[in-house]
Amino acid sequence: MKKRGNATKILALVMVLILALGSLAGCGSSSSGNQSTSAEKEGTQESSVSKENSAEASTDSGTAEPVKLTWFVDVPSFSFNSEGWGLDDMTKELTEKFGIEIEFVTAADDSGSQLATLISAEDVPDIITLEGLWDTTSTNLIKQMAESGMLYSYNDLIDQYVPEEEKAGFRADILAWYALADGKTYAYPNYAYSTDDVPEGKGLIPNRCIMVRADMLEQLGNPDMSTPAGFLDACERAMTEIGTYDSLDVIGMQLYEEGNEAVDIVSAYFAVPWETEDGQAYNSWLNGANKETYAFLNEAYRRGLILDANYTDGRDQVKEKIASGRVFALLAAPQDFADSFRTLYENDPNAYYVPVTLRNAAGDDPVLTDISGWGYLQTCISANCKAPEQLIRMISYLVNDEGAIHMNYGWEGEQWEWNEDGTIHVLDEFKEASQEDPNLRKKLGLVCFDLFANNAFLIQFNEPLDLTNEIDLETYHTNDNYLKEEMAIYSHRPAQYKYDPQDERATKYNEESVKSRSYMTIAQAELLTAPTAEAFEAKYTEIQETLPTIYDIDFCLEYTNDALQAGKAQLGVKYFWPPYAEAAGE
Amino acid sequence: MIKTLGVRKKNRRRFNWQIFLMAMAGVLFLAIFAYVPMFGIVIAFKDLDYTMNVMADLQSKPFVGLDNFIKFIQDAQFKTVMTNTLMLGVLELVITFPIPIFFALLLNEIRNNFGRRLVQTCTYFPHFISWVVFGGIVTAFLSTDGGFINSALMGLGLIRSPVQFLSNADYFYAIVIISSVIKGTGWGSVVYVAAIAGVDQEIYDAARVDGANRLQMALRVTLPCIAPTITVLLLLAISGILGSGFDRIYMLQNPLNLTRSEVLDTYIYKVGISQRRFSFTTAVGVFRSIVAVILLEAGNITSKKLTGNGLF
Repeated sequence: MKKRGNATKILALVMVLILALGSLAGCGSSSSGNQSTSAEKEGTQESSVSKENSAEASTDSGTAEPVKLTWFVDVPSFSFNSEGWGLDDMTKELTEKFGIEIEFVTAADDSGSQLATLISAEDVPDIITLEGLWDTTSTNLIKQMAESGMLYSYNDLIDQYVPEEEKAGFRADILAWYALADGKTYAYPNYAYSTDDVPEGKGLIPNRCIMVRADMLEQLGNPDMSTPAGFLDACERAMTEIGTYDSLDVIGMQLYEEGNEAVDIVSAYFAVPWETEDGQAYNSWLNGANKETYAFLNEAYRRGLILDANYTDGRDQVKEKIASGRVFALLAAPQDFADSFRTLYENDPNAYYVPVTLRNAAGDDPVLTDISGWGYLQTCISANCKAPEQLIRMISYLVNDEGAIHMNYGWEGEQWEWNEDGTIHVLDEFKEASQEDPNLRKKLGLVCFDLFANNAFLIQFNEPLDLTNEIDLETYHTNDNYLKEEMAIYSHRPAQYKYDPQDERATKYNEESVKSRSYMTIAQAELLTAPTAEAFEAKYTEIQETLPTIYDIDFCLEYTNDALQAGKAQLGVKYFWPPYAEAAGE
Repeated sequence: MIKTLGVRKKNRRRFNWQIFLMAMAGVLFLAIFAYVPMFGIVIAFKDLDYTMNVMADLQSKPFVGLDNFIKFIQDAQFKTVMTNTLMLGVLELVITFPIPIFFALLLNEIRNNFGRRLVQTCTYFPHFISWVVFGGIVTAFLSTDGGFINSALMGLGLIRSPVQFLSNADYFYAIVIISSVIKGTGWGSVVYVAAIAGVDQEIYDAARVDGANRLQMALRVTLPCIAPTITVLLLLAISGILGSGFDRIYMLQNPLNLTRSEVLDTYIYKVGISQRRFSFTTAVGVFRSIVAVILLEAGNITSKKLTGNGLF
């Protein structure tokens, strides 16, 4: 009896201990977190000491244990195109050269909440990549982080650690464009077009385009798709006359998931101006400038050319539809669907896309744009970064000629060799091998991350394709650069809004634009899917009337106009809208 | 009373420290995860939107009173968001809440043990699938482009063209409620099954002697016996009326159904957390908690008056 009592007591004690430990587990992890931050601080001190001691710190760090850095990419669609850091030759080489290992963390969704939490918990990752300049939330965040001393400026790091001969890798005009009020640059974009890299008079390849399936177009007898009516008719005929592809129903028009970006794409083809005739910013709703675009997309929906599912699908469903060959006309940036294009082409070499030139009812030329100047994603270096020196040396390598070519093409002699004219010849063996094993480039780590890619620079090394060669032919039909090439004649450098991040109004502008966005997401979807032409008219008028009550339009317009004028002032031009600029003789 | 305590003192230790410690662990848990975070409510009354360092600014920034609450109430989306949240909450209470009770009563009538376990396991199963997956399944089933439901209805000749389940906002409430019923009924009935198991068999025997049939026994014996359990769960459900369950709504949302699918939870996430508007978000959260407390208190008082049972 007594023994049993003891057993119960011991059991009770054990349980209490377990519970107590369990409830303290939360505190435990935070204390270990503190330890790691103090270790980080020591790490930074050490690295700064080692830098002072030896001029060639990078060679030293190659032999030492690599520093692990966390790179947070706040863009859910980003993927690190490798088997994992250190598992392929390219990243192994980077680790050997610069003594750092990188762990990529990609945001789970595009809400930004993950990063917001990390920042407010003072657990800022070493490197942060955010959406580009167009995303005011990201731009404001960078400004705020810079002001609170949470970021290194590129200028300081470059001055301190980058050798003189490598400094030109960071293009001066890009740094200047991204500089904050203190004259320093805290974010560097990828895919930005520096004036140094774009040959005079050469057209840029646009980012997005409208394309249709070449085989179906031929089946329909190459109808004229350059007018809105002709375009819609052709799509309708593809659905009724061709009907099925590989026993699946043909889809007349495919947009991005949830119908995203379709309005932007069509309005570019319809040449909706970026500014008024006297060079001021305007709201395209209030003066109805975008009405033709909306009416076009609504008609396509009403005629059943755009599937209802298009508005509820995710990106994967869109990819699947393209790959299975169901999509006749596609309104998108082809590089986003490169895999689908290849799958389709490999099953049927006649099934590939060609661009079409859609024009507005007045027959104006399209005004297409690249993401030039803006760049794509911006990358910042956190002041917490455990190895700022090694990191900036690595970035410097990536943006300089040697590194950029190496990252893109691989090892000279193994994957490529120089042509006499200065272009790069990708070796046939490598082409064939990568044709057989689509993951080969990934295994080698080529283009494993493009967060510092400079497309404008690399494009000069592309040698002309040999279209008698099957592999080159596939590239020609599925690679976005070749697909979009003929649209370059309509391509222009887009308007460069120069938002001043120091502007006090930025916060209010941000809040107001969230309000308008929340309303517009719903209203635009309802407008595009209006069941009748009358319903469309009614909805359009309703939006025009409601919009001014939702948010402060005048304030936002004034703010954007200031950014527009500041951008023009910096570039020294009077007009952004290419036709106006041409007329003014700019 | 004092006497009995005196008697107990002789047999037992004066102070049951083991039990006390075990209870304290629970108290500690509540203190750390429920009471300490409550200080964060202060954020709602200060202007900490877009702040970089919440802890530091919490001390330095001045109070702004009810500004954040007013901002929320004046927001253009306030009406839509509140309507959707309340509508879904009420529908949940009226439809989703009673179904597990009936289901438990039905389960109780299955005399075959194997059959009952089979049904229970099958109906529990969806509970263990996350909403991310379940939402994907629902979306795929309801798709207009080859989705199972539309294909089946068309195959049966019930409809001519696919029904736009996901893109027509009018269907949204129904989709959420029905999918919640499918996912939650089995799991929700666990508590009631347990309560039914605890009903005294003698009452059934007595009822049988009085000539009651099975339906009468279920309605006149089982149901009244588990009424206290139902009351407690109902009161808890009422207090949760403004919490629509973030996952399921977020998963089923798309631009075409936002007029019906934007609820407090998703609104807080999109406008607040994503935009780093900490104070605004906290204010919305506090607003929701206050409403929940009021509803809970009202429900409790009503329940006590009507049935004599209450939570506290």
